[in-house]
Amino acid sequence: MTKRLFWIAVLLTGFCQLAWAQDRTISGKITDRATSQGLPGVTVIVKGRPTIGTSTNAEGTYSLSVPADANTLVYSFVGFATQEIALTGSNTVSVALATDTKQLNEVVVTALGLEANRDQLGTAQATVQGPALVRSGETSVITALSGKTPGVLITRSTGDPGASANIQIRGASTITGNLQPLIVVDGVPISNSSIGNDGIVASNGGAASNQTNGVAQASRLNDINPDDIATMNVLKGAAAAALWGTRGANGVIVITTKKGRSANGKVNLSYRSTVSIDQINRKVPLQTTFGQGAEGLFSSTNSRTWGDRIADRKGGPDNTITTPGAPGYQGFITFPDGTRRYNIASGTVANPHGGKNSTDIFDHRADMFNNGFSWDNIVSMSGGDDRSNFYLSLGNTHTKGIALQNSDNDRTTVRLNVDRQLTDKLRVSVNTTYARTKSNRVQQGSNTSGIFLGGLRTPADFNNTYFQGDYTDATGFVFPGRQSSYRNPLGRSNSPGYDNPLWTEANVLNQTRVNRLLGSVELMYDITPWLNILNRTGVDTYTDNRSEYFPIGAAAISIGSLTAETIQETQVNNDLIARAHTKLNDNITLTGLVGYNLNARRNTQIGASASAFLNPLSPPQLGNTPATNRNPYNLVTDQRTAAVYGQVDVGLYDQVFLSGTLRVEAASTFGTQVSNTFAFPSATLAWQFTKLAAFSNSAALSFGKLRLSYGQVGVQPGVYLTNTVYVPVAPADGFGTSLDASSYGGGYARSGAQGNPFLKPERKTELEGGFDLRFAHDRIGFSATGYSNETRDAILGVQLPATAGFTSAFKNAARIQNRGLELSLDGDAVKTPDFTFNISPNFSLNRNKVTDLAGVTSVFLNGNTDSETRAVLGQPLGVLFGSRWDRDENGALKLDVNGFPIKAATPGVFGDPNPKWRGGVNLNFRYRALSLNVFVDHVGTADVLNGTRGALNVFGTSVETGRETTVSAATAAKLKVAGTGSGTAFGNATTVAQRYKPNADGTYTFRGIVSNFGGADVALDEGWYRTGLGNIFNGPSEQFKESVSYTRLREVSLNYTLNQDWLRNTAKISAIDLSVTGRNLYLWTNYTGIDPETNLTGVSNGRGYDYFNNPSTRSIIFSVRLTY
Amino acid sequence: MTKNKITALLGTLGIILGSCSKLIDGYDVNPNTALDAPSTLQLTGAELTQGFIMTDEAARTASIWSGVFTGSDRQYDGLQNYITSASDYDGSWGGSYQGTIAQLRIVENKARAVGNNQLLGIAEVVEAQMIGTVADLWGDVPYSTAFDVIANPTPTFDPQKSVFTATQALLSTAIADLGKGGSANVPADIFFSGKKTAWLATAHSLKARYYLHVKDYTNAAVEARLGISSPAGDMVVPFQGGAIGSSANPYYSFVTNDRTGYLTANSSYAAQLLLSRNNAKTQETVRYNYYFDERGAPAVPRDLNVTDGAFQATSSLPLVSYVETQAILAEGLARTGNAPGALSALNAIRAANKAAYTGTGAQYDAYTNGDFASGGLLNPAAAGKTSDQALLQEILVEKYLSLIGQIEEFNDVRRTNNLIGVPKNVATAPSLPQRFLYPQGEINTNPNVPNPIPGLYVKTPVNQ
Repeated sequence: MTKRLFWIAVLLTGFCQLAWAQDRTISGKITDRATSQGLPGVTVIVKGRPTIGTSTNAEGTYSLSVPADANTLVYSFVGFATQEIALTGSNTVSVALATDTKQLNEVVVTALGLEANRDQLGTAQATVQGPALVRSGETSVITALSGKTPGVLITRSTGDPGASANIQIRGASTITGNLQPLIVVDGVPISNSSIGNDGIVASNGGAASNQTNGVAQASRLNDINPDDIATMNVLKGAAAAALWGTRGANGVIVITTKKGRSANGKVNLSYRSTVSIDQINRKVPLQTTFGQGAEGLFSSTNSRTWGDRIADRKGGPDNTITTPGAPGYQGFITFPDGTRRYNIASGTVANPHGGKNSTDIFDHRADMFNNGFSWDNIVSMSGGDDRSNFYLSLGNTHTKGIALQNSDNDRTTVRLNVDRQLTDKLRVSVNTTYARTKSNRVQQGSNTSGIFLGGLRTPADFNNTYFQGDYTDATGFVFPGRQSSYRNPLGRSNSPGYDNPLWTEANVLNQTRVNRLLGSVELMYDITPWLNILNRTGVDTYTDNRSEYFPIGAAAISIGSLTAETIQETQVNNDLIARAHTKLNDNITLTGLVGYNLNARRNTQIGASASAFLNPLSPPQLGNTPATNRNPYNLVTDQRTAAVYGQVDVGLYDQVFLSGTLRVEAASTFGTQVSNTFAFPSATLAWQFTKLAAFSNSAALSFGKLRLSYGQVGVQPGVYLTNTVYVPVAPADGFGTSLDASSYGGGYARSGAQGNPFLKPERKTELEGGFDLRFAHDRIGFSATGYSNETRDAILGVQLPATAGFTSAFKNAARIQNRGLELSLDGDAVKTPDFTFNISPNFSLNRNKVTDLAGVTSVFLNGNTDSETRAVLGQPLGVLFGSRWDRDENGALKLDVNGFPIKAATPGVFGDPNPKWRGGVNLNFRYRALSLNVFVDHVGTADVLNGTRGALNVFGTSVETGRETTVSAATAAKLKVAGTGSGTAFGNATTVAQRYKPNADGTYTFRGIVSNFGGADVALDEGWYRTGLGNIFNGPSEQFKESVSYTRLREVSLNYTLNQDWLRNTAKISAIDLSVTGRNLYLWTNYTGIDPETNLTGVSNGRGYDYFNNPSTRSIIFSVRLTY
Repeated sequence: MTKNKITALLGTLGIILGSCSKLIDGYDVNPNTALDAPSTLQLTGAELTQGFIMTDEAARTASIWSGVFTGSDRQYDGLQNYITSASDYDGSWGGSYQGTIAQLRIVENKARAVGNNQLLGIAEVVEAQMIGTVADLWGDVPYSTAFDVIANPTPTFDPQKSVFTATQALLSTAIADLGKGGSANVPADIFFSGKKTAWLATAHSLKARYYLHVKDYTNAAVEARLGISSPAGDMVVPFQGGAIGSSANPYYSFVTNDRTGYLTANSSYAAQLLLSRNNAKTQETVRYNYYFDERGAPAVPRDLNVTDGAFQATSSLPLVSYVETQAILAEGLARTGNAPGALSALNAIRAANKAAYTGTGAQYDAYTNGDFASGGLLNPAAAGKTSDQALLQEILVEKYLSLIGQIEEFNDVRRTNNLIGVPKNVATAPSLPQRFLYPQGEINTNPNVPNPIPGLYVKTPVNQ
């Protein structure tokens, strides 16, 4: 019957064509603008005469007889923007159609990597196209996703090349568990861990890492080349992710890589080369008015910059002490260029400058940086025939960071995706990637080798560029290769206090070499036309060879140390899925699947650390140390998950779509004393209400869908919490005093942490609702989603009475909830054949709250003591916690007798690092082959603890410590100063008049400002900042919390495409794309430190803590792509 | 789809689901960490933890509150001024219960299972000393229902006296078990390397100590006679002076490395007492210099001797000693009317001192009865004391000066109602502190903590 109808149609068409056939025949070839391949099946009609038309053949060519009065032809094809071409004298019209991103969005990929129709989904699902990731100029997939979809918050750890970034989808769903979403590439889950110095067991996949020092490691998703990505689908809610059970609570990011396209055996070749220049995008402001020393006197070894006024110095060379035997002679250091540096006499009350004459100042905000650059090359080949497709790419991205040396990242990827229809019923596809990433990482954070910690603390009058030389002591003995730093300018001591940042960059080496193989094989067999079976096997395995080397003389460990280790992660995943599709009658369709999933993850870490190098000239060698200073270690984690799952989709009247899923799962991390299987259900409803008769004639509203979904997902317990273990005994107190039983022949004890064989997965339940609307013939799309979720049975280490024999136990005890709203709009404001202007804003907010903490009021998550992030009952997860000002019941500061505020006796919550809201807007202008894309995003009010500023106040280098104030004698006599009586006149002074000398006119000038905390005016001077409470070491952390908003011009990208015929005919190049992109061009923020999108503890449950974190960068990127 | 096909499909799925657990079985076991350890290694761990608890934070606090040492900076300024909070005691409490006795219970069970009575007896003595110390410091504490998280997740608090009764019973059991023989040597025993006679003597010395604490002087004297019979038999924590954090004396580690300046002997009563005691038969300079040091920076007028005295990295610290045993004997006899016996025990201590402290500035001649008579060397007529009172005073002062740095000093000053007259650090305080506070961790988790929670100046039941 169907066949007969077809022939009738063909005959009718032929008849009609005959009836109108006259005048002339237009022919030509329709190609895909992106690949320049012929597009078969493109509809070609005469404008205004829909009955006169044809479609292109397999090569993409067509031939159509048109009436004499026809003046325009319309070319349309699913997935491509419809194009109209005015007819001229020529009888040949060839058109290159551009893909229509909005229409492509119609097809989305679900949790299992299967395609679905977006308009039938009952959940919100965001799709980001591969080209948008590449266009962003980010070399890492995660940061490229920043701001692009509502409800997804990306926070980079630092701006170092290849550094990790934290992904948070719809707020935090667990407290101490892994907070990162599951990453699924072509249907196979892959690792996105970021393993810090605490190792594979403690970091629980990077979740519980509390690394406040060291280097920022990579997120392993960085190994994927963004250029290989076709689409990225972000499954945010529980219902969408429910088929992943206990791995779905933080959402799922489903990545689909590029596949070849059939084109009759034609091979497409494309090559893209990108060069970018990077520079620091925001500097920490520092004062350059005053020099090294304390109490206004110069001192060349003082750790502080509370010395003399640089401008008041004599100028010219310093008076150095060069005569052996002279008072203050300390020998000298000889630098590689022959320059010698001698001791300089310290200042006195009579002459505050001492021997320091030079008024030279140095810019320590950025003297450890220069321009970075990256060079990114990728060549790809794709093609296929009627039975096979392939995509092959080879890419290399080399990034040199802005640090002067030893900060870089080099990623080489090879991807081969092949699929072939082996028989009419059997299809096989193979996706493989090999990636090699090698990088040098630079020290940062709360770390005496961190380049900012030593760098920003350096006095403005100290030159860091002379960082290493041979020290000759007063007796003439030479110590070769000593480090020179501002506290150790001659290299007299083997320990420099803090490392000179330039010395760190030259000498402290932290290297990783990652070799990674990702592969999957998918077999699909059609048993009957309505039933098929799919088996997908995936392997993700990588080896990370790491070494960290501190040479002799490093501040962190002056005897030198080396750690060499190999981390291996292997994940094997298999899904066996049977799918059936049937149509019960014209109005009811039924689709179902059942599947079986087995997942095994095995991580190993083996390595050794050693310290106290014997031969200082040896390359980094573990053996170059005393045998007693070597510490080998090996760790293994094994996690297995097995599950069966099913899904049923019902379509009613092509307008209501119901879907239900169920996953039943068992995992090795569940307790052995509980039922070892747990079920995670979901149900969704999508109703295309515009299919109702009432809307059928609505010109304005072309599509409308209501969505409702309910789902449950989980979080797996961390590894090995179900057994009680025996641990080596090393008793210790809270002051650091300790013993170690290994010095007594070894001693073991049953751990105080009780294993819990009753441990269950955490369970998150989410309700989500929303609607998708499209207006004006789909020119404008609007989508809104609201959700509410709660995670119960969140796992927490709960305190136990020690008298029962244990001090803690892991229990399913806590609860945490999220509520939020996500809005997105996508509209073509202007749309003509030559010019389009598209504007697509998005907005999201999330409110998080810890609602149960098993009886305790707060749990430490991350950070340094007193600068902590914690889980606090009734507060959002990760609130900033530490010491605060003492306040009365009205919140007013309590003051001491002099009018200074007081530090409160107990610490508490003082900030919330979770943003109040987030939004972005993308503007896209296209005029013919020229397009401009502008992307701006905004993060609204998140608290950041600026620990850097808090520390620099003590050191006297922060910009606020460079201010000067002059007051009258009368004011000075009553203006109180802070600071403790340390026995010196400075310390014993209580007023400005007592502490400082008057000017000639009787007024007093002091370094600091007059402030008022609500009582009398007070002077905030050195006594306040250095020895009083005006810094983060003595004073409350609270005062360095900054409520930050920031708007970022994340991307400006100008692209021009050349695809004229002459190019094809003369150079055999079908298109040349030229683009220039500005990445992260401008940042508007009230934050006083570096880029506020930073976090000391990297990918962890900590947030919003800046403590000498390495800065971010901005880039100008030039790119050319040739397509053959 | 036929019914058969569906059945087959469901059947297959059933098999798959059933095999799920097989695929994951066994992977819950941590391959990085032991699930058990030999009882000997556990004994080492428990002994070292006990040694640490009794010479670390608890000993420092006890010493500050007994006038022996001085808290001089930050939190230790607070301790000096009797400012302390419940969270200061979590470490010592947890180390005693979870780190020591809970481990010893496992050792004891393992020893019983294989009939190793020697190991069993040693573990019992260590346990007895630990629970006795806990009862001394905190008063009513969990014991009879403790260490069984399944049956008693929140143990009840036993009266202090019944804990001491149980301690005596446990020591008696230990003495019996040690007498049964069994494995001759337990090299993992860091105190005596399994030497049975040493353990038997220690058990009796401990019995003497805990009889003394409940003021049963008769039995204290009886047990003391069976106790440690020479300084060579002292139970000491051996500190080998390895790197800080491995086997260095905790006082040394705290004073020189971990918290320099927090703990000094500035204005120490014990130091002043030593300097003011010289008489015709006694010279204390050498002993003073053994414990204290005035060679430090001018900012610290008086320090602990970490250079060549009691608190060097390599200085072992006693937990129970011959001198303490003789002091118990002396006090026990003195308080039960046997002054000659008491004097003889006191002179035994002085003889030990004579052997320990030599050279110029060290003199410990034997005292005679006459020295304590009114107007005698140690009993100025103006004091108006009887001979017995003067003898008791001297016994307690000698013990106070012999046990510097040990928790036992704090027990003695409280038990004797501060008979030797240690001055309060805080003039306004009602007395010396009378106990350690119940730890915050226990208050948070165990509803059986006595309510109201007794304050710092509430005497423990045996001292009331």
